[in-house]
Amino acid sequence: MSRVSLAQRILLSERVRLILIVLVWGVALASVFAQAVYQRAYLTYFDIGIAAAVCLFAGSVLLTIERALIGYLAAVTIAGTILYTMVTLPATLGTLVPPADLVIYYLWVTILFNALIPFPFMILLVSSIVGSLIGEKYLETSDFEWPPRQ
Amino acid sequence: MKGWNRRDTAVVIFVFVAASSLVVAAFGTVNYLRFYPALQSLQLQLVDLKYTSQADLLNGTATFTILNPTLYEGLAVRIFEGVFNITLNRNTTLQMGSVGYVSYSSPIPPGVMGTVRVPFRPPGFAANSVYDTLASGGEVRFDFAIDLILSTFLDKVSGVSVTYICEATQGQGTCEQAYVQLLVRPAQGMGGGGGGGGV
Repeated sequence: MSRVSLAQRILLSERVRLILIVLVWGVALASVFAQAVYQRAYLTYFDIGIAAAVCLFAGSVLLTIERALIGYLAAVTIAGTILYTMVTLPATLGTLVPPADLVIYYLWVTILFNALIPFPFMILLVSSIVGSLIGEKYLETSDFEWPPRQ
Repeated sequence: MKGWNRRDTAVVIFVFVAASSLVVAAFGTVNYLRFYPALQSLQLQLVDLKYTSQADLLNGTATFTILNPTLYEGLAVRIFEGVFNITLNRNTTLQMGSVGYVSYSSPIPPGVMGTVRVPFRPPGFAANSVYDTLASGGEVRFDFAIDLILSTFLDKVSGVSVTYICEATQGQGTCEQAYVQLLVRPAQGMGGGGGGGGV
């Protein structure tokens, strides 16, 4: 199968496309959060703005509020998992000796919790929903199918 | 085969934007993974110890260098502090207390050496003891316990300090890293208290 036909197949299969969008959304959020917490261990308004733009974009390509809502929760879960795995890697790999490894686990739970809950989490949720409304108005096409083809 | 519509184009753009953000985050991640090794590798050297001893007066200066031998970027010394003792003939220790406040606040870029000069002037009884010991051909050793309070990306949630034990009789001395401390402040809204851990 050529690359072009594979890309077209992915784009034409709504289910694959949804999974791809949510995965990419999660990775993008993890990236935005990562570059922020690696520099200062919290999110600035600028970081939240970038993450909100990602959510707006992702929400718009998901087209409906339901999918944006579920997609957002899935993406945040993916982002949190990726980020926590990355930041605790030194403890997991044994770079840090006990009890420092336990401190790192605790420290990063604290950092990520304080960075995301509740204000940024709500802003990003609202951005996703607003994005879906925008997508519904401007990106929805006549060949859009719901529920997706099997 | 249908052509691409606006949504397909938006999906492709979204994937590319996300991939770009991944590249930016990858640089940050690589730098972060060097953070803990950088703390463990941070070098403090006592490169020079000079003092003049008189019967009731002792003036000295200890010169330290700080070097980050790793590629990690983002470390800075916020406070340089410590205590020192004078050991006479390896059996009598005079506790001198703090080396005093040293105004040193500087980033520690990879491979760039910083220099800190610490003047010290022990009280009269110590000056007397040192003078008598030197006059009788004895050995005078200066022992320093130096804390480097660092400024890192964790400043908002954690304090990081590195402690060294240094000693010298005159001229160049030796320093060993004793431990690294991560002091976790109590979390807001999560309950529980803070704790510390050595790296």
